[in-house]
Amino acid sequence: MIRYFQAAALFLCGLLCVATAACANDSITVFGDNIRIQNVAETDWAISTAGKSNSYNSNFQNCTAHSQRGCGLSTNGNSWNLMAYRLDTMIGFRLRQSQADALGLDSVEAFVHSRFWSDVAPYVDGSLPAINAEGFRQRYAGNGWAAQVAEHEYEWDAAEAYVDLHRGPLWMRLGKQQIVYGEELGIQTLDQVDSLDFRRHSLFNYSGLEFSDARIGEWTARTTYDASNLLAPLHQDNAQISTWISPDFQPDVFLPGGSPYKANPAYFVLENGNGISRARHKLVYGAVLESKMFDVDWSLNFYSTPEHVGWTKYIAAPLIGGAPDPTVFPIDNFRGAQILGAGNGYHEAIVTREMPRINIYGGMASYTIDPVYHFPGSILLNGDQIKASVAYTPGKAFTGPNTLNLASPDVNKPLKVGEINMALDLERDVRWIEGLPSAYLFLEYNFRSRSDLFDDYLAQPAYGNHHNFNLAVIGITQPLASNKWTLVWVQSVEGNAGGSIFEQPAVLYKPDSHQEYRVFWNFATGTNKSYLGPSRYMDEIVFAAIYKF
Amino acid sequence: MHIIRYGEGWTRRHFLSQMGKGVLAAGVLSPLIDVIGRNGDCSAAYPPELLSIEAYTKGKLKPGDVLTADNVDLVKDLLDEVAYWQVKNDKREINLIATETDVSKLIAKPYLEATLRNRGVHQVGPDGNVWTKDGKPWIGGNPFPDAKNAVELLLQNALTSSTLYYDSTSCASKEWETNADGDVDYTYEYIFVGYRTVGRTTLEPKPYFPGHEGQLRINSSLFTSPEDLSGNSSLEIWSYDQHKLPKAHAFSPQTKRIRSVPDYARFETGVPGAAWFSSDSAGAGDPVYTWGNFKVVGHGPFLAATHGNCHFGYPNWEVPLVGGKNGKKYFRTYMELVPEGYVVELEPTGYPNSPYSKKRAWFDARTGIAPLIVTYDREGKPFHQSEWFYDYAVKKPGMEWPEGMPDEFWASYLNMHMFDMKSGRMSRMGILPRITGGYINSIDDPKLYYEFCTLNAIRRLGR
Repeated sequence: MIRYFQAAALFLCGLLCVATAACANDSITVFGDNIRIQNVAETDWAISTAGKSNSYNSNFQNCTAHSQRGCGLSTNGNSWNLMAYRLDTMIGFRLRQSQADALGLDSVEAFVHSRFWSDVAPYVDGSLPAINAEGFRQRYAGNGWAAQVAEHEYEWDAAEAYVDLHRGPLWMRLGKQQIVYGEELGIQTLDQVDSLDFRRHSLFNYSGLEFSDARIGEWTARTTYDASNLLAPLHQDNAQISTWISPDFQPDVFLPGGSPYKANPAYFVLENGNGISRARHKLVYGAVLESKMFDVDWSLNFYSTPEHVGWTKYIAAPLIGGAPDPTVFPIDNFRGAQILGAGNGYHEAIVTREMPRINIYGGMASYTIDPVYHFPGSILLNGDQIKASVAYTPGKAFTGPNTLNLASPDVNKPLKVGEINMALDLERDVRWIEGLPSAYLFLEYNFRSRSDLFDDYLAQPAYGNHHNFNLAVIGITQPLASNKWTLVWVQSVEGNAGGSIFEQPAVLYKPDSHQEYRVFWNFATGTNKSYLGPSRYMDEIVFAAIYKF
Repeated sequence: MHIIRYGEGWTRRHFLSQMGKGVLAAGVLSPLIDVIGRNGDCSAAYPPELLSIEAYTKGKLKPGDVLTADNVDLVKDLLDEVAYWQVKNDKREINLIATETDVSKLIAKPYLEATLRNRGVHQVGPDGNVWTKDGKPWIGGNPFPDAKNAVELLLQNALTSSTLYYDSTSCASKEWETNADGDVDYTYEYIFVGYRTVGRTTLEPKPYFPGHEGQLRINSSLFTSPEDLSGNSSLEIWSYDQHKLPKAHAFSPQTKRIRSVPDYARFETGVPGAAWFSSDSAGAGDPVYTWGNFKVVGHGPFLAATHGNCHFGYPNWEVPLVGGKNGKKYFRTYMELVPEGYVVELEPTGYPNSPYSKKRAWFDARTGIAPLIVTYDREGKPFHQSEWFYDYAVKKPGMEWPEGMPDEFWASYLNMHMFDMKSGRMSRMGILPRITGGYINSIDDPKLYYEFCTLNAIRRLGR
């Protein structure tokens, strides 16, 4: 049934995409209803500047050719990281007012975002292996809800597809949608409803896009009630109550082995089947109350969801009578490694993920300091925006120090512990000189008490036995005259396992309404066990050209 | 005949005399508001040379003539220096029309009625804000139809703002950004909504929207084109207190969520190519007391597009263009001789790094509307100019009439220019019958609040 639904949804997307050829970037009225179609064609070229090959893709085996044993997914010597082409088509529909009135509603609107993406880098750079998207991209039985086709180096999906029904203070959105809360940027403290799909680009896409293209929209029924008039006597402005439920849990989707951006050894095969098939029967639901009181924006958030990353285990008991289980460690001369000891052949390790339910309790407060103070040093405070977000997840399950340790009695068992996730943001606009538009300055601190942003549990020797995760991000965006050119610089610094740094300077150019160009450099330093260090294998210059029609 | 009684130069001397005494009293022959209160016509307040461009120029120009570089010097003293430069040096042409004396065709009728009804029940409190005699927020109309100083002119403008002489408006707008030659390099479509929370004269409940008495108005905007901006929506809540900056929230398709955003950046261009700042959008443009050193620096007639600019008869409401190097830089606009106006000057005392040294707003004494604003850079040279083009729209055959609107009404927003004198860039903008996404214009629609003016709304409208 779900397959039929998926096929129908994709057929509809295709039909509407074809229609765009005639009606692109236009708004047409049919029998009083309005249809809006907008397209974006984009290409992203990422050229490696790492000067070293990604050791996770079997390159530690000194691969010189893909035909070499264990080197099937090697990226040794690659010049390209990505040569992606994509077409996004956004279709909006607005029912004529008389029909909406006849339905007893103030407005009825629908929106579909069709997304086609392809990476042809393996076909232009012989050092990159051709990756079978279907086989290695973790598709699993039952993800027909994803409204997605992924074959070899392309994928086509409905990023969003929903209907909005609105009457007075009540609004319902039904369909595939992203649900996002929180004021933090680039990290996920309260933005923990939807999982992320990392396949379409580098882990560090252009910073300004944040997670919008990676976040997985889920089929959801969401209802929001505007309580601003109701709660006004309590000195609350703009009070909103939202709740949602989704039967469509989607886990984080990681890059396949052989991707230049892979950050796990290629010999690990992530078999999603068992873990996700159990999790997918579970619901994602939550509620948020948000308001403003005495000029402080605040929210209270509650989410209940299967874990997005989950904890990792072998697909079966890894040892049988003290010997490696061949179903867990099958021989694989293509992508395997000598993980069972030199001379014992090339094996892969098949793991899966469990995604137990977690409940997330959180909240946010945000305040803008009016630029009215005149005491010495007030220039540092005037106009500052201070935003604090915090979330607590009791009993979160992690891949612990012994979960994948063959010799441990705790092998294949998770480590469960509560985690605090907190973010502090300081933002402001600064006009350096009168002739230049204001720069946007951004300083952010993220604290997580147990794991990093990929839920890697930190209190284990490999990570330096340091269970706190501290990340600082500084960013500056400086538009130039008329906002045609924009300069952006973002730096992230964290302190685990020797520390690591990531930098992304970027230049944006928008010569007219149809064209946009971006150039940015992703540069990282650090060790493999640090949060940002593995990205040093992925240092790159990215050129993006975007055309809207 | 007034011509005999008030000879050549009399009106000029009258205005100079009043300026010299520091006295503002609208109306030359009789108090203006009393004259308007009789039958809505302002003729009796002015001598003929203030009611006719032909009389004012002694027949050298008349309604129907076109101002060009060849004849603009005849009315140099009636134009701001930027408009004069545009006509003299950038091939702009301006059509002259007769002065409208029926004030009910120069302002929203409910607003005018409230102005007359509520005369004298206001007070300016110790906090500088406008209150009723019993200390409540203002109840509607212009509290200062006979404004005595610059602050009163700015306060009445702040209470209404240039697009909100109605209780609510939605403007389905398109904006063309041109370079100095007039070539368009960016276009944007968006709907802008204003919703009044106090001083309501039409929408129930009135005069206040319960629970929002501490607010002045709520503004909302939604971009629908081009694609990269489509789905950007914002909400701006203005405090009644004219010392406080508005609070703003924005939904961005990039972050897919609402974030509170600073609204103190009043001197930034919001989108690539734009030639205007947030601060340029009304007489004060910002809360009145974030500016200072208010003074009236001019008093007398001026040329402005206060009526005659209805564009509903043009295909898709797109106004013919004129001027600039390519002949397509400026809207063809129709201006009348405004018989009496005030030029108010103010300085950005609350913004230490403002690129402006001062702003001048031209107020029409008949209505309190400011159809023209010029700002000056730190060296005192003209920087930005904003011009609003108004009309009393009357339905005629062949017009694409705005959906749901009565057969005649005063349009609080039709088109406007926002011009950057330094770069020569121009932002032309105006309403269309319907913009991308199917959004249309409306006036006093009670549904606009939940449709556009809540956090819930900007999250729903954002994509």
